Amino acid sequence: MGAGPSRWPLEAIGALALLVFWQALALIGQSRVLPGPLAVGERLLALATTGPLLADLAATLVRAGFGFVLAMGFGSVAGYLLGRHPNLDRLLQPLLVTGLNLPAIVIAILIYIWLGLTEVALVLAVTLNKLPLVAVTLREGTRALSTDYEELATALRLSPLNRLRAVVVPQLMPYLLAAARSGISLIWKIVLVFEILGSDRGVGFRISLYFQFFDVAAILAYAALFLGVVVLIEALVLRPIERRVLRWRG
Amino acid sequence: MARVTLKTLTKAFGGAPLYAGLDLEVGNGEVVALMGRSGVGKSTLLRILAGIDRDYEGSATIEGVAAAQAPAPGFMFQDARLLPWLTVAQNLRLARPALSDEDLETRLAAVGLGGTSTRFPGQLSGGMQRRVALARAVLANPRLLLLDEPFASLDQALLEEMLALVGRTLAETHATAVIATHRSVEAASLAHRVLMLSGRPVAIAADIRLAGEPGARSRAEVDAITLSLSKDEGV
Repeated sequence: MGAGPSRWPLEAIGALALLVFWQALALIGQSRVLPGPLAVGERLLALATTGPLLADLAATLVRAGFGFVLAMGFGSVAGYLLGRHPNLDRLLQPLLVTGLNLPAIVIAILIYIWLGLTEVALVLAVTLNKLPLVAVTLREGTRALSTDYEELATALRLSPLNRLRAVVVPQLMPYLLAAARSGISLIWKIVLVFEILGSDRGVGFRISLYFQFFDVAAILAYAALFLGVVVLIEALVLRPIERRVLRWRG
Repeated sequence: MARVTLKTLTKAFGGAPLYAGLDLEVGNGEVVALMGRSGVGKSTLLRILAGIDRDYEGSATIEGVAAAQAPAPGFMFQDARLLPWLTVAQNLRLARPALSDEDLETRLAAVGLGGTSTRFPGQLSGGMQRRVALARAVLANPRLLLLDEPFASLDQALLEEMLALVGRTLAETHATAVIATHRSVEAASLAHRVLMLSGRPVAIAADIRLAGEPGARSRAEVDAITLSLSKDEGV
């Protein structure tokens, strides 16, 4: 947050410094397992034009997208209900603690065993991994809802839909954005691990393949692309949404 | 206009009885000021009448309808209580969604806030926010107005401005109104009748009908009533 006028130049300087440092390391190391950014860039271009890179990226994006939407949707509703009903929260506490602490890989393996190595299983495993975190974040947001505004909504006789739209959701927005932001970074990582585990395409699958050949340039090319997509989502989706919904804060 | 009736109202607060069989009636178009020291239970009465507080025994009705089921009253809280993420226009439309842009501007101009409809509450001064809250309270032409310490923490200049504004609004709408206040001058300026609340459980220590119509009282008459109420406050 806090997008000041000097934010982008500073970030650009930081990114450039990182690239220079990386290139210097590569030059010093002179090793096939530590290619510099220029070599990785070349490989990225080649993989994108003639290789499977774009198809892999599309497959991973679709999986991550489905997982993200499902986890945010169900997690938000669950978190709101948990925040509203303390007894339900207590009842589901063991399930929530289990979901939060069960290693992602365990969930994936179990789902793969039960449902087979399918797209549905992969998306479900991703959703189940992220959902408890969204639920806990939104539960805290719901607990922090202002009773003053509730009273106002009651005095105005707002319909449940208007109450949700005008009073509840705007208060939950910072929590939704926080969950979305952490969700995007987490889901990307999980999808890749799960693709390594049980898929025949996607960024994770391809990286595991290149790992077997010790093709570090290709691995880093995929990682760089991956990073680029996350930065784009942040810049083109999350920040504009954030600016719009929090513009009242000036 | 709406007749307000409380019958054998009973409610506990913090383990002790706040009201124990309280009876109260406010006639159609009557403006009643509830006075009494802080914490005596004035605000709770307003919250019951607004349908916000439903945890009581006995009955609270507006035109014979239970308060919680009655149409929305116009309610002014102690603070402006505008939703900070909505513009002034959006805040007003919460009370009356179908209001046209022209009508909305007219209503805003009536409280001296023309041209502010697209601003957020955070861009307005405290006094301007109070005026938006007043505009919102009367926007749907409610038959019952509930004002909870509407002039609390206002400086003298703003107090006089708001008193005049609320007085005008009450005279124009002819709504029944219940005002919780601890300042005699507010009651003297706005009310037909003053109820002094005291004790625990709360009792009506004095029921005073003020002379003349609120809007038609001269400055001298308001001052005289204020003085007399200040003496009664000790009841």
